[in-house]
Amino acid sequence: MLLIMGIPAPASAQQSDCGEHLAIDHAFSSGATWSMCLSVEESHGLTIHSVRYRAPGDSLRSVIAEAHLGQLLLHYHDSAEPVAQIDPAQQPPRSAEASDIIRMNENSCDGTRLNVSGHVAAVCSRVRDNRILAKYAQRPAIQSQKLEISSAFQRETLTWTSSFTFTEDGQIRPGLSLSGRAVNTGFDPEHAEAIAADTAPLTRATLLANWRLVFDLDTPAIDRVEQFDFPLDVANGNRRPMQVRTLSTEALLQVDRENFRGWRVIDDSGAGYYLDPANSGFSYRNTGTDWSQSDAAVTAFEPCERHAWLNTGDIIPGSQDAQAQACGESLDDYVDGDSLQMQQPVLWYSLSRTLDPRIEDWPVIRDIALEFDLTPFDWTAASPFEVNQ
Amino acid sequence: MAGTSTRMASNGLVQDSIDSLHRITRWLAFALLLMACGLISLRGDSGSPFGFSLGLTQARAAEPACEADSRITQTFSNGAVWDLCWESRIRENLVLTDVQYTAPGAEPLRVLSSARLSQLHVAYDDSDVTYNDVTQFGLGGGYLLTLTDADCPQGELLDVQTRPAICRWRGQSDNGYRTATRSVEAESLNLFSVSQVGAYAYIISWTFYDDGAIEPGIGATGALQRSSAELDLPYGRILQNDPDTLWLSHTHNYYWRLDFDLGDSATDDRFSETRYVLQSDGRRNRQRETFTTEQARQIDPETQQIWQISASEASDSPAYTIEPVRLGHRFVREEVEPYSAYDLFVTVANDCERFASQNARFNPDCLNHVLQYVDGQSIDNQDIVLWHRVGFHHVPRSEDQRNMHTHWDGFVMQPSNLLSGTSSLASLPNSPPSFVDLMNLENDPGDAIHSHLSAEDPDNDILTFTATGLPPGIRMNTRGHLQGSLEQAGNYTVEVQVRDDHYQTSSSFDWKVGDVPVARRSSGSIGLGWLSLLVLLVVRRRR
Repeated sequence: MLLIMGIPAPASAQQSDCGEHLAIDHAFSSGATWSMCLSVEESHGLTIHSVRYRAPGDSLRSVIAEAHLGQLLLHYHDSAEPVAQIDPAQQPPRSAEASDIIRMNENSCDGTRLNVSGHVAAVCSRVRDNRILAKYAQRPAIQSQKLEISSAFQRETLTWTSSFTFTEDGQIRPGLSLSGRAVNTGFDPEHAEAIAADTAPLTRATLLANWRLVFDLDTPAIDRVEQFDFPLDVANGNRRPMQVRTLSTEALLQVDRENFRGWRVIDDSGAGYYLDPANSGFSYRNTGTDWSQSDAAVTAFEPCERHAWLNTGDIIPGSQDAQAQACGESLDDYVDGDSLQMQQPVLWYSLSRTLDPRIEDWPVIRDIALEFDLTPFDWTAASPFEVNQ
Repeated sequence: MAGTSTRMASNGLVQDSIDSLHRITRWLAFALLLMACGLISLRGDSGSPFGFSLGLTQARAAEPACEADSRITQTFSNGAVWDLCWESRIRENLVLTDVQYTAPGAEPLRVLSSARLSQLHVAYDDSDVTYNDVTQFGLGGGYLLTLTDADCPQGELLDVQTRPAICRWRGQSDNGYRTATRSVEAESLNLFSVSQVGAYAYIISWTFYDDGAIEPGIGATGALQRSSAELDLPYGRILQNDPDTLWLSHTHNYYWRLDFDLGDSATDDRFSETRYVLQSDGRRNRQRETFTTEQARQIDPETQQIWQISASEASDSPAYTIEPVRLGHRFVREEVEPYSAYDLFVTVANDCERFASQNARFNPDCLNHVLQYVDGQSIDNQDIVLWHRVGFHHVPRSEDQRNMHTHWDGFVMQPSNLLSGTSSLASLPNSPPSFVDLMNLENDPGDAIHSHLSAEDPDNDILTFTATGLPPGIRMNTRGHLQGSLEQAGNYTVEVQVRDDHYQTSSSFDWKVGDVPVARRSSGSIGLGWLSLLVLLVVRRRR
């Protein structure tokens, strides 16, 4: 199934077969094009597959093989343990009528509603302005657009929206927002907030979103992951030498704000994408789930390592492979010292925020949004939009 | 806008003497008009080239004090209104004053006396060069670019002096709220200008949302500024097609100065910090500290610390919260810039304290940087100013050649206690929910109750229940589940409400506990809904 949106893109032989998934292409007026396949799963909602980007004047090149939410934790402050919002064993594939995947309507999607994975109107696709792409002196600004793909699911009265936004200049912005109805109440002011006289105080909660990002950059060669650090060298005139380290084995990783740490996935051609944790102002901690103490991780690709926690019982869609049952249960199980040499790396990344209810969140929580950018890094030799020597 | 200092009453005029005569004349004419009306007094204020301040600042809902062409009033679909004045200064460029928000159906609320970018600090990784762009160069005057329709395709161009340099446009947030059946996104008013400072073009942006949120932002575009011919240095990168140049990595540190005047008075605002502290048992306790003296604060990622400024000490007073989400980069170079160790500062408003760094460059009698402003003064009964910094470490990539794609930074100030709830934001067609099977109840003291209210909604919205007047011992959660043990005999009238995200439906029922005479209620006070049945499972406790 192929859906062409906006200005039709040139045909792509590689992209024509998405199997059971939905194929979409979008070409911006500049010629920049995104092409991908979509699926929706009961456990974690939207998955993007075989994502390819064509910069203006460039060819359509592979960026991501597969990306989706790896886990969502909702940790009520009066509780010792977080509640996993993604639990494949408890959220098996089910009929559309019984599904927690939200069916979009004209009031919830002002773009194109797409039927995906047997779910009617499960995905909303829309193109929006993305403000000024570039401006220099008195040259007219270059305006840009973005393609936003989103899907939402419910957990009790809460609604979770998983989205991927693709900008005209090649950025990918995975996003997650929490909304819906806050219904957990408590009476201890340490843990709950009284927001209205006629209702019980609403319990505060910290949420953690984790994404699984399986890159497949450009050429067929295996990608590698590099960690960038810029430590302050006080003894050497307060300079910040750049340190780049290739991650050669699986690892749990931490954000290092003072050293401006970031991670680049790079192909043997030198083309890369950079994950810059600029939005990582908060870190999640708890006393139980070890895997969640890390801000990021890199693992060697294993098809059955799909969720950062509660992965046991998860099976690969369409596969009865016994190996699927033998996978580890959580991200810290996957990080077991395997070499990343000649192994396609998988990047796992987490963000966290706290919901402290306000009257403005009553009766529906205003979006608590988490998002980050994956930015092309030496993907093209120069800006493909304008060359001004 | 306390105007407590007289040391540098004329800093705006003397140091920015190249400000146009046009602007001065405009202020003079307007000042004379206001003086004639008795609306201003002569005291220090850096916002005016004449050093006077507006006597209106204490009054809630006062009209923003500026000429019509410097005033922006934006009404949104939900009825909310933003009202503010703007001006462009040589140094800071866009300065917003007298910022007011009117929530749907509410009275106007004064929010900010003034708001502006107070420094744009750029430090290169080789440490050879550091720029303080606002004070070294300035974002206004000749650095302010003239805009065209191509720069502002969906908005309206506003003139700074005689040329278009501000774009005003209405947009839409990416966020709002979502239920199973609807999604609502906030509308916004955005103002931006572009300043070319060296090779960089900075887009100075202010966004005001219909829900009361404010988002200061800045976009960095243009071209890379500094490079080196020493290709082996570890302070930058060699980009494609330019093998003989090392483009240097650097950090942009943006400092905003926010003079809050929430509500009726400029001097009763409170500043507090909240942490959510993990306990050994896995739970998380909230710790809130209200400060009484000036502060310099650092982020604390693991406690997910946030900052709040409130209109008063009342817990339900209007407030704004800053969540330091975009602090994944923290530029700290204490040996050179001691203030760089902190992310937020709270000071008493002082006209002498204008820029976050290099302040003495234009104000020799004043302190030099924001950390020096934090000198232990009490902030009780004082006009409070917040200074917040957000940083971005820029590692050059080949795509920066040229022109560089815009990198956006900023933060959101979220309101609390400004709206009456989510419903005030919705403008979509919706039908109200109604109770199903609601009826009067009779029980005995000691009965254990496990029951729930039931309601339906034509739009299939998720519903939330509330109740008042429940018998002692009984609680109801927001799903409508009643639970507890009846403690006391009596006749109770229980008022219940069910809400979707837009409407609330109220009803009531009588709950007789024990053998007591029923007090007859006046007719007409009960909706028809209460006559329907309440599905109730009562587990009678054995005596």
